[in-house]
Amino acid sequence: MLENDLEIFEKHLFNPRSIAVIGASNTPGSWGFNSVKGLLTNKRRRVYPVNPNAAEILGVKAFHSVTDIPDPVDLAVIVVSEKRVPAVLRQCVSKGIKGAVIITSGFGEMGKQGQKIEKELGEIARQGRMHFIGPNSLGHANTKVQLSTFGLAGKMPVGSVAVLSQSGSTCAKIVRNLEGTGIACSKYISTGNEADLRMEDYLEYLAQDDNTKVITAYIEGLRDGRRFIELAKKITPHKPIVVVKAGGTDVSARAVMSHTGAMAGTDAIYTAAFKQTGVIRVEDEDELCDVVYALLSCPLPRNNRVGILSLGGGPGALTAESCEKEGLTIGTLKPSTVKKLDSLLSSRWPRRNPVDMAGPSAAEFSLTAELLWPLIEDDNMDIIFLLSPIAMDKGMLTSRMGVKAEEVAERVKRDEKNIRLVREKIEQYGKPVILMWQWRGSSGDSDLGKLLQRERMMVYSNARQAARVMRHLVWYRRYLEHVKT
Amino acid sequence: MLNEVEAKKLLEQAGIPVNDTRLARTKSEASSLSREIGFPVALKIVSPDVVHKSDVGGVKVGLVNTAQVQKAYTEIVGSVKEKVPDATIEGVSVQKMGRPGVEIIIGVTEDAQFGPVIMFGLGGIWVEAIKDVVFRVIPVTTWDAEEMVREIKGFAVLQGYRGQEAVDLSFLVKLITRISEFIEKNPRVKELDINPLIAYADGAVAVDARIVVNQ
Repeated sequence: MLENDLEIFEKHLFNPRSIAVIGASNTPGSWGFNSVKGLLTNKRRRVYPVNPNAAEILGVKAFHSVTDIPDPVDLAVIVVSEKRVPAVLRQCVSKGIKGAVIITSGFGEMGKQGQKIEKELGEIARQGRMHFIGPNSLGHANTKVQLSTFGLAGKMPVGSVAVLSQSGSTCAKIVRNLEGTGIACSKYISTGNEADLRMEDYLEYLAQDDNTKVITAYIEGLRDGRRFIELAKKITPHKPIVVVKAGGTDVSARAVMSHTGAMAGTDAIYTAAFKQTGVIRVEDEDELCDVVYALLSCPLPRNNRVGILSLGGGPGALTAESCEKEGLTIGTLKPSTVKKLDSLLSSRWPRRNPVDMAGPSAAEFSLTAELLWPLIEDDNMDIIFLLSPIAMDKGMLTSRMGVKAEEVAERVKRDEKNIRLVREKIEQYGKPVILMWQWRGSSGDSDLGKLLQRERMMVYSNARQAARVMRHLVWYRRYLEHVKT
Repeated sequence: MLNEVEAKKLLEQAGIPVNDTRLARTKSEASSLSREIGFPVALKIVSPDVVHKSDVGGVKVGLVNTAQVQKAYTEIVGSVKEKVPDATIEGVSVQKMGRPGVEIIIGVTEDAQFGPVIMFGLGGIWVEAIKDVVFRVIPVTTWDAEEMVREIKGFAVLQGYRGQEAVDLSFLVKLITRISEFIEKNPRVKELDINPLIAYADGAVAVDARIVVNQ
């Protein structure tokens, strides 16, 4: 990345000290209103509303045009009507503004005339040695400095996951979904029509951004596939890239002259490009959240052999089936593990994997942790699915199992210790452990929920879903290993 | 566009085994070539305007003597002239027939986004109906090729199926990477079709090929 570009990204787009909102408005609900309102919630930076017909916007002095602002402006947010955007961008250039976000829509997505104007905007930026996001962008954000041009107020949680999205609403959706999974973002960008900066540019920037540990993207089409491949190849060995690729518009024109030409569908080739560069491709935002959570919460499994510990035969069998459907294998217990389990279980247990606890009584749930350790320690297992409770919902203990209050406190203490031990073992043995006893919907026990989140436990109610995530992680590990050689 | 004979010559240089194939421009040339090459032979129409040779009666296989060869030559040319009247006919290719094996298709096409792309899959005349093919963007590494080969739905066929022995997978992997290298070194090649490549336990042979070169 050119040094000039890097500075524009760092200083102007993501850490601006002063922002001009061109097209600011006092009409509640309008873009010009929301943009100013959202930016004003953060007192750290100066906001300059620009509107030739208002003396002030939301109590802040307004300027006739951006060139009237006496102070330097780091970033311009442009929300004027599409006809006025080129002239406004030119004004920004003459003011010496290096970064802009063009929220205005109605360009290339509307047809050829719009595409022409986009080209013009790109030229203006090039000649002005500046960069803009969009047009038709819903905004961008840098959580570390509480910067958001999405026009929303409120404090953003700060994290390490970046989101790039070619759809504005999908960007917001992914960010919200991640938050719901307990994951916060570092930076996110609704890339819009990419008339200047493109997906590949953002990728290059995020690759060297120390605040971002995982890059996610919603992609409809790439404008420079080869550049994407070169970048992704360099990035994925250090930072995972997780992509939702939509079928979208076919930007490949192809002259069909042979069997090969007739059968190559664009989507299959995107899949190929991702596979060859270590990019994890997922089907939807849900899967994206699951995979990101897993990447941040557990080690990459060394191989695909699953060990299952379950309360009864049924759940274990279904889970095994789901795992196999996702290309995972059911590991074979080592004789030493069988011996250890023999000493803990009744003679009814089937002596193989999945390990069926063969119906312990409620009082014997405490056995779960004891049975789990040998399974995690078994060299033939790379991923563990636990289908028996290792921690109990306090409500369940008292209401359903009639456990007395004093005993509950003791149990909770022991459960907390066991959960921490699970985390230790995960790190020590380098194996993910999936907790699967939770029923659909969350437990009423918020303390338990907090503990599980604090220890970054992976909790699933659907085995297939969990197995799919593990499949991705196994693949990623294999890719990383082969690239190193 | 290179005809079958020219295409096979190029592939041979790239390290892809091909069967002995020569161009006959007359019935008697076909006859003498078939004696040189050795029976049984197959005759195929050579015309830039005919893509699906079997569909227009442009292929005759299992010919065991010169009489059959001459008859086949006449029938092929006649059938193609009738079914594709405007086709330019360069002649008929005469090639040695090999033992049966697993039919594979390997192709290269240019994707507007990603550039040259290799396709691999089970071949034969059903390839466009079943579409059991996988793709990789060039350059294709050995690791990529090993993944490709295992990704097709019909992988079990490659591993040996109903009396047929397993094919030499590592050789297929080598061929894929050789084609990748060939395309990298020859950017003027726009399209390439090997259908079929016949795969055996001890190797593979390209039995039909088309190459399109940018002028």
